[in-house]
Amino acid sequence: MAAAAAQISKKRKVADGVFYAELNEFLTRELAEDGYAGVEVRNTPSRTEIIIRATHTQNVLGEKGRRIRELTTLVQKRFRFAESAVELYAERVQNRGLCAIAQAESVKYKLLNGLAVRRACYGVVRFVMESGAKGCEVVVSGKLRAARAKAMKFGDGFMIHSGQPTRDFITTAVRHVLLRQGVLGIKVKIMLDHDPSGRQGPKNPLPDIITILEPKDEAYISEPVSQDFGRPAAEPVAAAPEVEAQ
Amino acid sequence: MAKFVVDHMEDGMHEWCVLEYKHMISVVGKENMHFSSLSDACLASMPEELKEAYCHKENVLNLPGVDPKDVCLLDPSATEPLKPEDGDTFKYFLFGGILGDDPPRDRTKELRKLGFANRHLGPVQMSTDTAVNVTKHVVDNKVPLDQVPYIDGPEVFFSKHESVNMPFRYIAETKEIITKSGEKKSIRKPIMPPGMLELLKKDSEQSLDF
Repeated sequence: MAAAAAQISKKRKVADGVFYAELNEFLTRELAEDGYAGVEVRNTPSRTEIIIRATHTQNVLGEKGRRIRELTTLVQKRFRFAESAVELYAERVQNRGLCAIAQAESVKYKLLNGLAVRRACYGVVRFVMESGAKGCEVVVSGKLRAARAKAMKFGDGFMIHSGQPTRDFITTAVRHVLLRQGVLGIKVKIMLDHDPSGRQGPKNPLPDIITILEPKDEAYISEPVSQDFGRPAAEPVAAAPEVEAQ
Repeated sequence: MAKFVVDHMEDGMHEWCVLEYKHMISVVGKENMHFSSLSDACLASMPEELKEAYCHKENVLNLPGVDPKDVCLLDPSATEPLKPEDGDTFKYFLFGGILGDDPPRDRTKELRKLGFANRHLGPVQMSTDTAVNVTKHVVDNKVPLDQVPYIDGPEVFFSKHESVNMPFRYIAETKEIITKSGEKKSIRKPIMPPGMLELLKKDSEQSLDF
């Protein structure tokens, strides 16, 4: 393991990071309207696989796969991959209500389409809570016309702010809305619920949650009973109490 | 008594401006309050209480009876802070009637270009009525700038689910309240114009215009 890790030189690691960053930025701008939520790059010896996570995969694929083929050609030409050395796949985001990026884009498009700030934000907060989040907060900051700059916050549920649990439980996204007068900032913070199966939230619960188990039912004792505690089931262990008794 | 001049730099008489200007008049008195650079449309849509102060169409350089040497501009990028002695040096204190951005876009430079002496009121942007109120405390009541009680960036709660954060400096007033459990507590609240809370709530119902 260590040898394999050492073979990936620092230069290669940085190059991988830069590739991922540029790809992510390009896809964020290109697929913003299709609910783009992230990308994963898998390097295999024969080719590189790029998996695009989005909410509207139909739009990402395009008519008969046209758009995704165009994107593949773009990536291949830009990064100088050989023919068919790079493949793009689109994957649907399960439960977009728990994806902060998708919800931030949703607020952005609602505002750009002329919805009132309160309606747009409350709509998103309600959708997120219905999708099973523990808490949600949407902040719209900036200067609207005929008003002073301010930050409008809309929230529901439970939210933590400090410590390692924030890294496990909270997803955040920031988006900019460009207006004539300046820029409005949109921040969406979603606190996930703990999910033992690990699919829709972290596996471990919050560190300060204590579950008190119900006491076990005791069998009714009608007459005195003696139970020998010194002899556990397995044979080798049975030798131990005898040794102790000495 | 110092006189206060606000140069209206917004493109209309918005409700926000009206509330702040009314607040200023109630703090310093209508005979000490001047508004300049008011367009015809603004003058037409101004409410009666504002017209009781001095309203001028001209810009601040051409105000009747005002000598530019007696004017002090309150400018966030000035090098010297406002001091109580400035009340004796200057007769008029000039403010930009600007609904500000965060971070500020320095729209006060339009007034700075006109060459008045300037003073600042601290590092944090204030609303225009707060600036007038602070200036009055410093030059009329002779309170040094750093002894005025401030509250920065207050958050106003409308409900458990909604709040608004105002990234400006306000003067703080201490109030005694009785909490739900019956104990007395003293809290600090920002001094905002009457009617501002309803206006903040209404602002969230606006949609963006491009």
